Amino acid sequence: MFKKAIAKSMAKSPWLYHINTGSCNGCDIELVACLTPRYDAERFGFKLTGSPRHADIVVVSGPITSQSKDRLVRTLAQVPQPFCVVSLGSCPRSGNVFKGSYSVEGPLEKYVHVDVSVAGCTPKPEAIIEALYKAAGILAEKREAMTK
Amino acid sequence: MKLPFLKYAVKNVFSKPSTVGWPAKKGEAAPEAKPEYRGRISYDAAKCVNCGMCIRVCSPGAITRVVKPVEEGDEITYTFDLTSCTFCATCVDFCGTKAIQMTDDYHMVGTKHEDFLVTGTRVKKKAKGFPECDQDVCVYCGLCQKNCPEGAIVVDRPNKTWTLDKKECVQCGICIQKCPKKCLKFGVPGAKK
Repeated sequence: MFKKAIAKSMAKSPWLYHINTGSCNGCDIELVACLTPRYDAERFGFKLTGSPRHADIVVVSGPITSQSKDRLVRTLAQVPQPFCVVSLGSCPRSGNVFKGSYSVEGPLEKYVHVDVSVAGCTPKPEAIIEALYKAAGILAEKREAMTK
Repeated sequence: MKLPFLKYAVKNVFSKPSTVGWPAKKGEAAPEAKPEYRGRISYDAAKCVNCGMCIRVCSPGAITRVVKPVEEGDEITYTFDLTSCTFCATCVDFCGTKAIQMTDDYHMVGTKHEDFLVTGTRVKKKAKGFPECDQDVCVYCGLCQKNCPEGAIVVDRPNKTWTLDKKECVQCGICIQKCPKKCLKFGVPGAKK
């Protein structure tokens, strides 16, 4: 019974961890805007956490620069299973205008499976909330598959 | 005693919440983007003349073109990769036939790469060569020059000359359609570029 209660409460409150891998700060600002009273993603239980060890959903923004690549891999290794990866904007998926640069080591798909992506440069907060909503659903499915 | 915020406190008790209801509230529609918002690209293949200008001006290289020869001509497919796009709308500005448009649809959320592709296909009939001008009939109105998406035609009315830049011409045939005197026609078949 306890396990059921824990599973239910975990599905209701996925915690976010945000990694900036060389983003221009546009997507980061929009993600923060999601958590403000105007869009209020916290009413769905999303909460920004400071540690990857507490995270359920990892939000990645930026084209993954050489400097941030090792840090990204190390951080993703610390996130407990099951977790969901959400990519913000065009950069993590393709590198956007930075692709082909000597210091860009994207796309994100090379390092981890991306569950949900949002397109846009930058995406609107409404679109980000939609993606997080979708990611929460995928996370619940993943957790169910794990506990079985 | 001064209560500077009392007015606002009382006002806020009775005012509506500033939070956008969507998507938690059922029945509430998603908020619409501003009219100038640059969202998902729409591509009208029927209007496209395959000049390739959008590919040339796209800074992240998000647009790809596949030309497949079929019986009637060439099957041309344009693919806009929205995971690569910067939404700068340069392709929209440069498109001579307004085949590319930006919509206000911002719901670009997906799990697969295919969710982010905008494609359009059309069959372009085999060109019969470069357009040629019958200068006995031509009145040098300049309509062909105005409508040429590539700016390949120069009409000089005072000197009565009609010149075509064969490097720029994509043999789309728009000038022939627009000519009011029917003096333009496709000339000797020539290989494109």
